[in-house]
Amino acid sequence: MALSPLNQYRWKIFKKNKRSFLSLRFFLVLFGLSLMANFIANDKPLFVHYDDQFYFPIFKNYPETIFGGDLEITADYRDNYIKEKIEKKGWMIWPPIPYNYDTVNYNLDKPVPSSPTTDNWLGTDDQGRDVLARLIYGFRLSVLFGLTLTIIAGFLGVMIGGFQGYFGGKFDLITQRITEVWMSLPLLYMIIILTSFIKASFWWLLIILVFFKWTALVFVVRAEFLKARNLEYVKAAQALGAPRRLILWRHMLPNAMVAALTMLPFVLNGAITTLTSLDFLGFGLPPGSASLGELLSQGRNNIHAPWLGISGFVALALLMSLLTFIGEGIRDAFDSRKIRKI
Amino acid sequence: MKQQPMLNVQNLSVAFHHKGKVNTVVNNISFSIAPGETTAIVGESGSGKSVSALSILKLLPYPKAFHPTGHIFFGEKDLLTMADEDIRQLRGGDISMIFQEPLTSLNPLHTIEKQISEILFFHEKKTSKEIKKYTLELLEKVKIRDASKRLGAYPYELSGGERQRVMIAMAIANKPKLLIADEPTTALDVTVQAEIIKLLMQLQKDMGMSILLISHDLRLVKSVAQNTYVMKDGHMIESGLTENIFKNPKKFYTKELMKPLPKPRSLKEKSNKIILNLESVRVTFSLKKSFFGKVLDSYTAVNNVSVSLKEGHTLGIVGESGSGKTTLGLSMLQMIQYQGLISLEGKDLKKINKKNPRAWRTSMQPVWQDPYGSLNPRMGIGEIILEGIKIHKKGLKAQEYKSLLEEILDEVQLSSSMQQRYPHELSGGQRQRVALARALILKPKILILDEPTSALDHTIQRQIVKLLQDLQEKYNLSYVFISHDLAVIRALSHNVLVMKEGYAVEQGTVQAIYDNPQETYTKQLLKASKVI
Repeated sequence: MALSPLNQYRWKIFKKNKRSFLSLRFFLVLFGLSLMANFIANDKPLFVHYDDQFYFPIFKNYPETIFGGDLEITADYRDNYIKEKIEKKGWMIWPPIPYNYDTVNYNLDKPVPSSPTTDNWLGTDDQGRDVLARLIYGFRLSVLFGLTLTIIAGFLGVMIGGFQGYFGGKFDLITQRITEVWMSLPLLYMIIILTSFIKASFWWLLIILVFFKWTALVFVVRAEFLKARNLEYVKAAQALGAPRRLILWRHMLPNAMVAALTMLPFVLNGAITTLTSLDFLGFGLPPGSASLGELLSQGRNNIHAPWLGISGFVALALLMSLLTFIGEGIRDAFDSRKIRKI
Repeated sequence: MKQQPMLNVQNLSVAFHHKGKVNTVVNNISFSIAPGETTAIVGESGSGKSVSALSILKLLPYPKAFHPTGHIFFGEKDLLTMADEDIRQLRGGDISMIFQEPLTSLNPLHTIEKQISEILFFHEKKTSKEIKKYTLELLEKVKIRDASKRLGAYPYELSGGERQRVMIAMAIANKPKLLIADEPTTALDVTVQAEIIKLLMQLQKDMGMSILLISHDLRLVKSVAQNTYVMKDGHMIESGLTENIFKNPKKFYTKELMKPLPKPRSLKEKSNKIILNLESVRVTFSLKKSFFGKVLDSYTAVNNVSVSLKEGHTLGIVGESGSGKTTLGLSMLQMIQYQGLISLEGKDLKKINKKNPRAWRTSMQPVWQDPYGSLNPRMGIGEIILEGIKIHKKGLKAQEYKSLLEEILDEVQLSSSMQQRYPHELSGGQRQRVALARALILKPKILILDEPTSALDHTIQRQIVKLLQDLQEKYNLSYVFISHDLAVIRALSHNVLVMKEGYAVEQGTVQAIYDNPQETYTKQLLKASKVI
């Protein structure tokens, strides 16, 4: 799809902001890599060549018996017994990090949490799991969770704010008051209470957070729609006899989207922070999931193992900074004062 | 020149650094101002006249702006090489300035007394009692009514004219030798404009100061300035005594500037068919409502106005800001709630609109004032123009839409390559043509034109007026032409309605109103527009 000249111009401004553009590229690379986490950090080999046949353990579960084992259970490729069997009649290629986020390394010669070694680059946590593998999966989970939350909450916020602004009057007045009351509920405590009787899972947590985060965009979008109602080109469209949905869609929504888009990276940031703090407190994702918050809380509990806290902090700080810099770039690119100067 | 000039500008250039390039906006201009005289710089927007004036007091965004060449001598001193501290002493002291927009030039958070006395504090160290007395004197000098009571007033409590008077009071507070007035009356109503100009002339006589007047308004310049300089695209193209320039302009561009608006055209066929009729139309806005919707306080913007428009005629609606003329236009378009009857070709528009709010819109279309705001910046010109026709004539082939578009572009004298452009790439005049094309493509019978020329330069204004005349003749269009500008109204209208504070003060044929006005307000308006 070709960009309109206006968007081309915005893209140009965005690219001009070196820090933002660099952050965007860096973020996309990191996000792309984390999407491929299963091929980078996994406790199964990428391929196995055994008895002149190829096997792809990441995509398919093979029982031990295929590789000459004794039981009908899924092969554990990290098990020395199976390893020897396979290597006798073939070979296998491992991902660069041979651990999944929940793989416990039983071959440690130190008590857990163990410090970084050539095997576990960032050490292991207090359950013997590889920190780097958990970071990669945690990064993916955080970003995906944040993105889904932002998209759903953004969509709801734009809808509600749009209706408030377009219809105005009493509808606006009443929904505004409800929104204000809703926004002043203490988010963290509400979630702690809710998760105590709902078993927290990725989707449950998402639903609960959407419930509280949709308010983020309502005010900006409402203001934009209120403003747009009085724009001359909106009036001109009314005078042309354009139907309401067309006016809303073609003339008013794009205006509001500019404001909404500018806010989105910051909403994404907030979503990730909320998820992390919930995990940190232990009210977030179910135990065992790869989460940055849990890593931080382990770091706090094991001050003698600084690699936990430091890697968690660096990963989170990097993610937040990248998103903030990208957000800054977007804000500048959509700045109407800059557009008007062309 | 007999006297030593007070301000002497020699070969001044002004340039800006812009995205790594140097953008020269003023090229080697020279002018001088004699003591006690009024000198005018005339030009259209973008001619560099304001930038030149601002560089006298070094009010440009330095170091982004710079002067590749030139000197500005004020007496013996060159202002361009002067230290910042000394320039600051001059500002509001020997040289002071008044700007176009009196609302934004005053700080809304301080009383006018505080704002005026501030300048006195900076420049003359007096006791606060003396300052208060002097401030009052100044306000009386600029003829603010009840000056002693208005000392504590905030800017929002003053009218536009009064604000400009306060600005003038601030400017003359330190008895400047030179007053720079940058479009001092452009944002004001005609009757107020005349008063402000009179005041400035009076002050000049009393205080013996020189005035540098920056303006696009030739009538104003002609009536007040002794010397005139004409600028175009950053060059000084003509200069001399005002009389000579107006009597005998040498350059083509100056002649273009001086050209009056096209003459009114006589009607080819005299139709007596009334196409649009308004009977005691009233528009009230509720200012305060109780929660249950009971109106507690209201404001009547249009009060019992009855008027009619004949087919092929133009009805001019004249009034100053707040007279309700725009609101009346909106009520015709059914875009605002009103009481009374508005009928289109004998049928009650309110009823038609209720039955089918879309179909009748093809017979009446608006064109508004702001050529920047009326086009969606996200849409291409072709899309904008075709928007209406795509609603009313659905299902034509792409080719048919395209030929309609090219036809209408030709009609408003735009090249067909325009259709791929976006609004920001167009000049003000071109945008107004696009807005006109968007309305015309629906083949309306009536156009509601709300100040369509006021944001445009004089030469462009003339082209648009001529285009409107041509179109009216060709398609037997009826216009409702809303404006504050009596000259434009005269060029286009056949009948005129004069409005003031929501009431129809006077109406009649254009000759009757202009040659033989009955009401005092109409006389005032006409007088004011001739004085300037």
